[in-house]
Amino acid sequence: MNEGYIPILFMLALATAFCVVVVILSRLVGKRQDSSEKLMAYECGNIPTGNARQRFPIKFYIIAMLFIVFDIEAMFLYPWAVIYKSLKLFGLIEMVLFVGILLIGFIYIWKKGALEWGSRNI
Amino acid sequence: MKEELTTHLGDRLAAVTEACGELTITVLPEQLLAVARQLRDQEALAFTFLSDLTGVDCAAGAFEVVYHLLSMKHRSRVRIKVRIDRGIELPSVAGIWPAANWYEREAYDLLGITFAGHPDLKRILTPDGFSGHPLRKEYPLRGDPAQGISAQRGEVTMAAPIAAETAGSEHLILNMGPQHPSTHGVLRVILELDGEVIVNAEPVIGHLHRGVEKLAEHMTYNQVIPLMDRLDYCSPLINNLGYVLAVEKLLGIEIPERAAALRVLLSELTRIQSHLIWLGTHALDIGAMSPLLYMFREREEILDMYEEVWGARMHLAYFRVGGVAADVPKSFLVRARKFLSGFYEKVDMYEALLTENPIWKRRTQGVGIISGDEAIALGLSGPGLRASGIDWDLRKHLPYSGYDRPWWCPRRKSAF
Amino acid sequence: MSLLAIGIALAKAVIVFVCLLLCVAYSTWLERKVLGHMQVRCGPLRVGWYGLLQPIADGIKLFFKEDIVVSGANKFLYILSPMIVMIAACASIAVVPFGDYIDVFGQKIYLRVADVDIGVLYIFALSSLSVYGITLAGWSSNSKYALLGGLRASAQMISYELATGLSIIGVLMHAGSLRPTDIVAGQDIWYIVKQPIGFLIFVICAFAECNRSPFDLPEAENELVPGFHVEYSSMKFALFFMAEYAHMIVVSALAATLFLGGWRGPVLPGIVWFMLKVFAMMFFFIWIRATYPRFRYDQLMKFGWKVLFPVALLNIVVTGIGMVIWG
Repeated sequence: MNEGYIPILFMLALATAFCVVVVILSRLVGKRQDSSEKLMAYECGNIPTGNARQRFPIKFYIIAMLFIVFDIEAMFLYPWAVIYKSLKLFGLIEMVLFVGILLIGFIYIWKKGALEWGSRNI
Repeated sequence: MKEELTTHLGDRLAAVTEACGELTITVLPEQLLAVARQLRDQEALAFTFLSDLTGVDCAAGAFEVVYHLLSMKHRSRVRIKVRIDRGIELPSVAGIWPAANWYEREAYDLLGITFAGHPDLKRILTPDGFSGHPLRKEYPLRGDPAQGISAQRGEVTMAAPIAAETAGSEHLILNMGPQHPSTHGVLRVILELDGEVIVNAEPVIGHLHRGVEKLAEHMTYNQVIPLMDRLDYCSPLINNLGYVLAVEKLLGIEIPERAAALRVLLSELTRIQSHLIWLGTHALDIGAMSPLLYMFREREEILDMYEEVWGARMHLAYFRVGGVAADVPKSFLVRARKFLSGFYEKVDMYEALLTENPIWKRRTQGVGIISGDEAIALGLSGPGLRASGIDWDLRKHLPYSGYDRPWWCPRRKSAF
Repeated sequence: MSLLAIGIALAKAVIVFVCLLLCVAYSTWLERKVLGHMQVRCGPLRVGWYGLLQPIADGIKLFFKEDIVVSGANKFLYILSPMIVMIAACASIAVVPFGDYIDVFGQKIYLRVADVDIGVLYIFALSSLSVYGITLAGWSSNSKYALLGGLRASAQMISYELATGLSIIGVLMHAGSLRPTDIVAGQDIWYIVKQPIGFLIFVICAFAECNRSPFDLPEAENELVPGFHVEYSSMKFALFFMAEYAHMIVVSALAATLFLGGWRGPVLPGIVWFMLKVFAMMFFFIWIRATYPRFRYDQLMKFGWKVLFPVALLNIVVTGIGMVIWG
């Protein structure tokens, strides 16, 4: 295992320990007086109508999917960027082609209206 | 206008009376719709604006419904009175003046007058589950013990049309308010959301209704003034003014010139501070935090001036029937002049913070446009009406109080 | 790895973590003070000298607040999500270099917790993790306001993450490394000079990633009340709150490292320069909050996808061409 990562583990462990400890401590220390009305979900002083966990618009899924597609493509640019200095012109042409392909996809979703936020469109 | 009314509506009117310079026509219930339509559509009358609709419990088992109309074209007002017996329905005028929709609901709620043909006649001011009609004379002044806390909390009923439409759809029904940072505890809006888009909204009002009318019935004219302060605590003195003008008109009182000037001066200061609250909270609601605090700094200055005038900072009760409570101290005038000459710079700053801000523009331009016709039909008044492109300012077109005097002349910045 | 090395690493982790927590606490004080003075008021004054003990008082208060688990909540996720957000925000500071090195008893102590070759990627990976925390918080609360806030937050944060990721590629092309120390070492001229557009996009995205004004829609209190954490109280709320500030600090530190020359600067010691740069970024965050109204959601998403994303791509192409022409 790469030794350079051990301090990161320490950091993660510290942060985790901190979070767990404060949550448990505050649970123990804080005063508690539950009532069914206090534990009701907040809806501006009204009794909540219906369940919050209902279907929500597909728009958010679409954004998530687009993100995955484009973020993976962006990730491919990272190793390329790191060695760009040695690739020179070859790297530039490669990248222009790659970004070009990315852009075609981007223009497609733009034209399809996937980036619009009006009512009742996909 | 009296002649116009008699020539156009002569046979339909039961009576035309003029009292205290106000024109009133009395109509039989069955003639109401025909008269109303003519009042609105007849070119020579053109009463397109319904400024108010009220009900009066005349005891002896009768109600009187009063329609207050305004003709912007002819700059005149008229009032229709219709007398009905309890239990008799009156035709709704909501189809003629859409503004009547909520007014009729109010009359139904508080007095129990039913309007036939109203699109959605239900309670508007009293809470869900309330029974009885509080403005009826027999309703106890201290409230009905049966309408205790438990009854007022009631069941939260979903507005029927929205709930029915959306059963099984993807839309989310969301209560916004009254306990919400931007409805300030006084408004509830039932929203129907399609993701981030609001496709339907139903306002629920009455969270701050205190039944001032009922309280005022049991008081002398002067005792009512403090109640009027509390109608709109952002602009207390202007509400004072409306009330004392009405009483003075009834009693036929002329007020001294200096009192009229003071009334105008203080009303306009009040208007400034009221608008400052509006603009500041609007900016806050849209996410800009700082303008509110700058505006409160200026408002504070006005409240300090109030304090100098009559001791109180918010609920002044300074205007009285017949004038004002006392003369203002000299220092007040100096202070007011200083404030007003410095205020233009402040307005420039607000402009820079908001009206010249690209985000603010994008948030507000082209949103919620109300056309001029719609604005009149819905009974919008004041800045809302002017924002719809209607050139109508009561102070200019139907001047009252001191606004009709020659010394009242609004000036633009360049004049200072 | 020797025992001593492990000891040093542990000590560094503890010190950095404690310092980060202190910075988080005092950045809330800073925000209230700066906002206060920008808005003709004073900010905290009463607790301690110039209100300096206010963050401590707030912390203690939150500790003793009633801990509420709202009815209908998914208890496990409800408790887990603030922790995810906080852990992600705190752990990402590990790879940020604060300075070069100091000598302690003949030992060269490098001023960073970890020096890994994919440091920049690591930070991005962790900041993506906090999206999970926020989304789960919104969903698990079983409250509509929280759900809307969570949905908004997730869509917004991932959209802007894309542009953030693209905006720093120009820097990586110049530096030729993902290791933060190499990137700092490469900045004889700050990368903000070579990559002004990249910096601009990075900063705008940083505001959106941290849910800060003018992109604070997930917690727009005038629309969604506080959004995804509306149902949280006590220390669980505090974790969200601290995570937001920790996230701001990390992003500021990242901006300093990638664009502003990291710890490098004349005369003053490196760590002071680094702190100054982070402070300047934090101040900028607060300043913007005092100045701008909030975007509407569709405008925000359009801005992210239709403006920032293509501009960031274009920036890469232009940087590539420039580097080929001028070496």
